[in-house]
Amino acid sequence: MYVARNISADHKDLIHDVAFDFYGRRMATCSSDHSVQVWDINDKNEWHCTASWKTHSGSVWRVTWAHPEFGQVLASCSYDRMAAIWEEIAGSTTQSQRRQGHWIKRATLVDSRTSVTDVKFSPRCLGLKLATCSADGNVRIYEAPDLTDLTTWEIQDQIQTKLSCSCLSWNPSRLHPATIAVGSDNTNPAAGGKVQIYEHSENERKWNRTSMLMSITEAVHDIAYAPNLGRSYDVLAIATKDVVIMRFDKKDPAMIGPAPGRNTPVQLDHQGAQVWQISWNITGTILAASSDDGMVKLWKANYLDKWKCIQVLKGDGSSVAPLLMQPKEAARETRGSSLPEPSVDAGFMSSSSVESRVNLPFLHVWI
Amino acid sequence: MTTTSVQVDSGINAISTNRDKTLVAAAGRLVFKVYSIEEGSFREQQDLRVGRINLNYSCNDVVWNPVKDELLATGATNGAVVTWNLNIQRDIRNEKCDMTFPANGSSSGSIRDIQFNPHQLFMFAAATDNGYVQFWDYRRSDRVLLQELVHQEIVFSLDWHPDERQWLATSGRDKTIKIWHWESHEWRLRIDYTLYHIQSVRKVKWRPQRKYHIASCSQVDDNAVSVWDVRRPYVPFAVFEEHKEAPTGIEWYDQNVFLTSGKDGNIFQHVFKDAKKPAETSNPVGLSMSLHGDIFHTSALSGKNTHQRGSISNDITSVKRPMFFRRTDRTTDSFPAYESTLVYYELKEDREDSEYIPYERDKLHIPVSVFKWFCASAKEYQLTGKPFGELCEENAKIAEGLGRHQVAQTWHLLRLFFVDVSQLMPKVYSKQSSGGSAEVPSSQTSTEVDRDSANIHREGSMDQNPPTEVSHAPDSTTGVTDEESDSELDKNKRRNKMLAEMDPIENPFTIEDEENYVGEYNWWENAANENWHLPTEGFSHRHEITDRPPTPDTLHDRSRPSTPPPKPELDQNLQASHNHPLLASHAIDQAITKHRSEFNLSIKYRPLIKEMLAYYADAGDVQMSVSAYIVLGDKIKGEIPSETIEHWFISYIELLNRFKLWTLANEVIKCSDHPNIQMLNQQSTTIYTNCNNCEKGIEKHAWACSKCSKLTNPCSIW
Repeated sequence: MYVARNISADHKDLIHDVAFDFYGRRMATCSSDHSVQVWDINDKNEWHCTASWKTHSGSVWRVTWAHPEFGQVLASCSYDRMAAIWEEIAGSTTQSQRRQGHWIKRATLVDSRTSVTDVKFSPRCLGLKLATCSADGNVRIYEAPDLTDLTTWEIQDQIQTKLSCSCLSWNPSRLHPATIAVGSDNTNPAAGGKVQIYEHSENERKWNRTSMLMSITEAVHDIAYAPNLGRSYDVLAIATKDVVIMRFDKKDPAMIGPAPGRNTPVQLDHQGAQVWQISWNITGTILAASSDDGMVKLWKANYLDKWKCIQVLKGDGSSVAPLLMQPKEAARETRGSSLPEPSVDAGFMSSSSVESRVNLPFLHVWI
Repeated sequence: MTTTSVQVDSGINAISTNRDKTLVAAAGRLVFKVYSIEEGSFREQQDLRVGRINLNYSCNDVVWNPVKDELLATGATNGAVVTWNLNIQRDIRNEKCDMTFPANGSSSGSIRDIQFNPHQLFMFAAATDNGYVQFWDYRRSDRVLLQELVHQEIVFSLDWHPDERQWLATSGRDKTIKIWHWESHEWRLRIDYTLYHIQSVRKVKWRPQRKYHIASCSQVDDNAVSVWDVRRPYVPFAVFEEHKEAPTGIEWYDQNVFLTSGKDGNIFQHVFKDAKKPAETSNPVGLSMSLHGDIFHTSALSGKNTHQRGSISNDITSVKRPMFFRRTDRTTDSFPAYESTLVYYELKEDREDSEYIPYERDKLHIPVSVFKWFCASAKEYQLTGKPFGELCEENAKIAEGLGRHQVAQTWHLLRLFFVDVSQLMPKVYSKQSSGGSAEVPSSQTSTEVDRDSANIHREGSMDQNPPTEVSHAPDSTTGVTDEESDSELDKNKRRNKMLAEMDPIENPFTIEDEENYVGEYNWWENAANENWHLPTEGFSHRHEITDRPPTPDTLHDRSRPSTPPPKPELDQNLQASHNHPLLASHAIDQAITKHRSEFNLSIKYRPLIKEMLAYYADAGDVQMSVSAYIVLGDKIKGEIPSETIEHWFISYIELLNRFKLWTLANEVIKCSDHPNIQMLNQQSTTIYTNCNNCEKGIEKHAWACSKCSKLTNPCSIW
C-alpha cells in the first residue's frame, strides 16, 4: 500500500530529477531554477529540506549521490555545460551559510562545450569515478585519484558517440569490466540505434563500443541497469516511447544460470505517454517508470518473465489508482480526479474484477 | 524565410539595420561591410574598409541613421566616433562634439551602452561600468535625471521596450537580465523581472510585437542566442545555436526573424520556426525509488491548472505574485507549465504496527517491501550451529511466516534431499525384515522426488511455455490467486500427494513443534523389533557431527576435493556392512545408512541444487542463494564456480550493509569459505573520534583536541 504525501519544494521552476541516497534516508532534487535541494527524513518520517543552494547558472538536469564510503558527495550537471561535485562537511555553520547547509563545491568539470545531460558515479568496485555525457555526444570519464581529495578530478577517457547523449548508466556488475550504456535523444530514426554500450578494455586502455542496440530507434530519455545482486546476466531498462527491458547473458561459460535465449527485449506499454525517467528497486525486480502524463507505473516480471504492471501511482499525488484500469478508464480517471485523497488502498477491497484479482498479489510478493 | 547566413571575413563586433530593414551593416575590428537582405540570402553591397586604415576605423559598434538611409555612425575602440556617408564612401566626421554629459560622482566609469527612449523624445539612458544606469535629458547636459544601481558589476547593454513605455531591460556581467519598471512620476526604477543567464550578457534586444520576449547573447563562452519570456526567469523560451563563437549583435527583422552577428565572422538570419525550445525537450518528471521501496516522484503541473491560468485577467499590473499566474499572453507563444509537484509515496505495510519487522513465529505476517522480508529473514535465518535438517526446517518456517512460500518449499525440499529421504531408509529395511522387497519402494521414492523437484524447477525457472494446467487451475481457497501462486498451489498439491505416497505414517511437513521433530525417529523404533536399538554410543554421536554443516574453519588454504570423500571410518563401516552378515541383514547402523543415502543423493541432486541457487540469484533473491549455500555447506562444495560464490557473497554483504545490518554482514563473512570474502574482515577499519568536550572531530593527536585544547578522556566505552 502506498501512501502519497505532497511535499512542497521551494523550487521556482521545473524539478528535473530526484535521487535517493545509498541508504534511502536522504534525497536530492534539482531544478531549472539553478538550484539543488537536499532533503533529510527525521524520526517521524517527515522530509525536511536541509539545504538549498544555487549550483549552476543553467537548468540542473541531474543530481546523483556517490557511495557513502566517499563521504556525503553529490554531483550535478547542467545546461551551463558544467558538472559540479559537492561535498557536505561537518562543522558549524555561520548564518550566511545556513541556506547552503554544509555543502561546498569541490570541483567543477568544464570540459564540455554543450549542455551536460547526465552525470553518474561509477559502481563502488571501480573506485571513485564519474561519467558525464553531453548534448554534443561526448561521454567523459573522470577519476579522483586521491579519495581524500575531491578537488582533483582527472579526465580519464573521452568517448565520442556521434549522437547527442541524454542519459547514461554504469553496469553495476562486479564480474564485468567497466561498462557504460549511453542513450541518445536524437529523434531521427535513420541515425541508427539510440543506445550504445561501451566497455573498457584494460589491455588497450580505451573504451570500445561493444554494441549498438539497433532496435531502439526512438529518442531515449533514460536508461538504467538493474542492480546486479548475484545475477548471472545483466538487465538494462530503456525509457523511449515505451519502456524496453533487455537482458544480456554473460558470455563467460563459467557462469551458471538458466539457458540463454530469452534475451528478447520486453516492451512495457505506457499507452502513448512519453516515459521520461525510470528507477529500479533495490533487488532489480521491480521497475518504476514515470511518464509525462504524470503517472508512475510499477512493473514486475512474473515467473514466466512476463512483465506486468502491478501498480499505478498518479503523479499529482491525489490518489493511488487501482490496478489494471482499461486504457480509456485510466484516461478518464486522470482527467476526472480533482479531490485529493490522502491514502487509498491499492484496491484490494474495492476492485473485484477478475483481472485485478489475478494481478494484485504481485504487490504482496516483493517490491 | 529560412535560416541563412553569410560568412564575413573576420569577427564582427556589431550589426545594424537601416530603417526599412533592407540593408545591414556589419562592423568589426578588421571589417566594415554593408549587405542587402534579400529573400533567402545576403548580398554584399559595399565594403567600406578601403583606403587608408587607422585605428579610428576599427569599429566596436555601428548604428544606422534612423532617418537618412545613407548615414552610418561607428564607434572605435580608441573612443573615436566616425560617421559615414554611403553615397560618397568616406567619413564625414563631425569633428566637434556637440555636447558632453559628464558622468561624474560615484557612478563614474566608462559608458557601455546608450539608448534613446523611443517614447520620450529627449530622454536617453546610459549604462556604466560600475553597475549604474543613468537617465539624461538630451537638452540638459549639466545633470543626470536619475541614476540607479542596477547590476553588481558592469552593465553591458540596455534596451527600451518598443511598446511598453516604462520597461527598460538591462544586462550585465553578473549573468542577469533585469527588467525595470520606470516610474516616471516618482523618478525611480522598480524591478519587475530578473532573468538568470548562463553567462555574462553582452546584448539584450526586445522582440517586436511580443510583450514579454527579449533576445540576449552572452559575452563569452556561450554561442547560443536566447529568446526569453521574462516571466520564466530560468529557462529561455527559444535558443538559436548556429554560431560557432560568441554572438555579438542582435537586430530584429520582424517578430519571427532576426539577425545576429558573431565573433566567428558570420551573420545569421534566424527564423523562429527553426528554434530549439529547451522547455519542450527538458525532462518534466523525476523519479527515484529508495531501497525501502518508497518512491519520490516529481512531475510538471498540467491539466487542471490550465483553465485557472486562462481565467486570470490580462492586466498584469494589477496582479502581483505569484508570477506563475501572470502568464496571459495574447500570442500563442507560451510555455508549458513550469511548476512541479513533489510527491512522496511511502510504502506502508498492511499492518499498522509494522514500524519494525515484527517477526513472530506462528503468525502469518506478509511484508510488502523487500526491506521488511529481507531484514526479517536476514535476522532470523539459522545458518549454523544445528543439524542440517533442523536448520532447513527453521528457515522454512521463517520463510513461511513471511509469506514467502516458494522459499519455504525450497527449504523443505533441501531438507528432503539430504535428510528426510535417508530417514525413509529404515522403513525400507524394516519392510525387508518383514520379508518385503527393499529396493522397489526406495527407488520409487527417489524418482518421485526427482520428478517433482524437476517440475518445480522447470516452472520456477520461468519456462517460456506455461504449464497448461495453470490456466485451468481451480480457484483455491487460500486467497492467493495469481498465476505464480496457482502453480505454487499446484506444486503444493503435487508435493503433498507425493509426500502422502511416500510416507503414509508421518508427513515431515506437518511437524508442528520441535518436540515432534526431535522425536522423529521414534516411530520406527516402536514399530520394529528390539534389534533396532543403536549398537553403540559412538555411532549416534558421529551422526550428529556429520549431519551438522561445517563450522566456519579458519584454515582456508586447506584445499578440499571437489566432492567430499566418505570419511575413512565410514568406508570401513560400509565395507563392514557389506561383509558382516549381521550388519547387512538386520542391525544396520543408522548412521551408515544415512551416510550412504546422503552420499548418493547429494550426487544426484547437486546439479539441481546448483541450478536452484542460481535461479534465486537471478530472481533477485541472493539472500536465499547465500543462506542455502552456507547451510548446505559441504554438501554442495565445489559444484559452483568460486567466482560465482564470491559474487553472491559480496552482493549479499553489500545488501546487508545497505540495510545497515552490519553485524549480520560480518556473520555472513564469517560463515563464508571463500578466501576473498574472508579477507573482507581483515581489512582495516577506521574509527573516527570526536572530542568529548566540543565534539570536534579529532584528527592528528588522539589524546588532545586541537580546537578546545583539552585532553580527551583516556578511555572510552561505546
